[in-house]
Amino acid sequence: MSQEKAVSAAALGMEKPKPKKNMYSLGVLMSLFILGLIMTILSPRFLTIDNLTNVASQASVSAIISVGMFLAILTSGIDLSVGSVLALSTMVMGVVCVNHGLNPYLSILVCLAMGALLGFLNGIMLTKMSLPHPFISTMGMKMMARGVALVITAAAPISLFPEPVQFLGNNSLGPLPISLFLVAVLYIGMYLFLTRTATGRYIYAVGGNKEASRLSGIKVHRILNLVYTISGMTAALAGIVLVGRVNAAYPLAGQDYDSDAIAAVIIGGASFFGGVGNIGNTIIGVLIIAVLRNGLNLLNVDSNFQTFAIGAVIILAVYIDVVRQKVMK
Amino acid sequence: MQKKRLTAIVMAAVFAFVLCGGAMAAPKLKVGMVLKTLSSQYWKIVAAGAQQAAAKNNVELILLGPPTEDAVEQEINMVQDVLSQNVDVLVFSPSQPAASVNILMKAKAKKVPVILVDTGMPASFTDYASFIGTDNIAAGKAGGKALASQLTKGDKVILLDGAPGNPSMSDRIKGAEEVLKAAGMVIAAKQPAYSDREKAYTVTQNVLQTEPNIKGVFAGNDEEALGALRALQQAGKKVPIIGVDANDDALKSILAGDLYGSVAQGNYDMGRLGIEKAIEIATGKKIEKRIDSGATLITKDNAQQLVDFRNSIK
Repeated sequence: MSQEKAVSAAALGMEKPKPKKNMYSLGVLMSLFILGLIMTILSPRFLTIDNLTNVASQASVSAIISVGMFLAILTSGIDLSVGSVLALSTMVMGVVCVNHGLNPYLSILVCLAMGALLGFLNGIMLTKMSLPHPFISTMGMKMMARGVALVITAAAPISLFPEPVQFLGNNSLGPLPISLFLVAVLYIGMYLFLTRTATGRYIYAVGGNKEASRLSGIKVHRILNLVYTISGMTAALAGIVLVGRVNAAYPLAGQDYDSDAIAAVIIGGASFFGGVGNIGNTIIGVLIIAVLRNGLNLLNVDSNFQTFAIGAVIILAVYIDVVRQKVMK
Repeated sequence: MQKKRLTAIVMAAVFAFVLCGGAMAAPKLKVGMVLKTLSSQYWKIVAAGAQQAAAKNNVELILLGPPTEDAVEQEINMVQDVLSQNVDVLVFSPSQPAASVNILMKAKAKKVPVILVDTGMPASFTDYASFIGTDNIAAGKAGGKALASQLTKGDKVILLDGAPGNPSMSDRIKGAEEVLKAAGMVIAAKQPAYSDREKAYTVTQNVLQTEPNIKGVFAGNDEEALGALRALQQAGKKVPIIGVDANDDALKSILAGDLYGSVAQGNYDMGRLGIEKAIEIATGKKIEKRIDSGATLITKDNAQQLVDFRNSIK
């Protein structure tokens, strides 16, 4: 086992992060800072405790989903089903918790297990059924999960969740929303997992080159199943935060989050070809989108322009990266 | 020493400026309005009603709405962003009422009174100042009355309901049914058509198989009315059909002499009343908890007027 780890890590050059990655991190962070500065100048309401906690709570759902999306993109895949998995997991939680009175803590576990199961199925479709690309398996799952979410209550929302279920999304510690701490723990945990454990490094390796990983003894299928299972679970966890925020589960929940999460990961500099990316930059990508939306709301800008602006930022972020790589060569 | 004096002068100047600014700017009422979307014609008219009322009454209006009606989380974030700008009154149209309870509790915690427009909250939630919207039973009655005027006693009619459990649609049907029955019409069929044109088309076709002698149709919205129209036209029947909403397609059809009429909701007045009632609340007046924004029957006689009015807003 330790032999295998040494071989793969050395063979794939995963030992140390390259310095140019840090350049991009700095660039993304600078962009967020400049964006914040512009918003501060344009709106006196932007830089207030009240508003910044709003941004934090608004970004938290997206931030949690983006962790799973980051892993999927890191393995040169994608998970288009996150929004639907969020909806179905929380609807199932609503049915068992509100309609059937199951213990709230157990209900939370049911929700996470549901997300994990749906994610695992995404993985199985990719690895065991050999569907050609996760675009297909997760798009199928996106539709199936949304369909079931709509069917189980005939499209009716479920509201009035007990306090423990609402805790993550609705409570604060002083001015800081609890979800902020959850996000921090999740990102730090994922960073350590990816950089300090063998499995974490294998995820990078599989993303970089599946064939080489397989030859060097990494169980590629097991890694991919794990990645999509985690993605399903983070979507369900994000769903619990969302349910807490609005005190309801509803079958149309999470529709915007698929594309927002993909956008955040891309703005955060993860490569679509896999193997390259930094989880720390993903949270910056999430914050850039959240600040953009919040700032434009404060400035009373038409929401259709927000959609346009985020699209433009994605293209710009990737283009800057392309130019930068050309220059470095 | 000199530096200190300079600092003092600057500070005094800043202080004076702030004081002047505070005194000069009359306390202008600040209203935050979040609608289901600003991107459809229906909501643009609600927005126009609000904007014109705000301009007339010198109210600062912050108007937001997501790109589509089902972007529920974005709408809730918008309410949050509006509340953080310290508005005096919130005017809100919840896309997903059950999911909007928590954010309205936040408004209450900030002591911001809430006026709902178009869509109310679940019956268990009463922490709002007023709900301004269509009285759907009254709208249904208006449509039923108009249909009855075109028919004679004993005529068979179809009622097209929305999805089961859609209260605004079923209220319209309830209102129409009451008036039609009182006028002596026979309800040959009352079926859900899910507010959808294609479904209404199929339902009407099916009903015509068993009840070929249909003399009129009342539909809960225009999409259904237009679906029924198509089925009846294909069966070679020309009977009066009435829908609700007076949307663009329905108006075209009415002007072409196909649909008999449509009941228009007072969406411009929803926006206008939203602002006017916000002013009343801010000045300490008591306002009614439920305000009917009215409904008008549109037929060939007045359809063109409505078309012109809408064109003037766009």
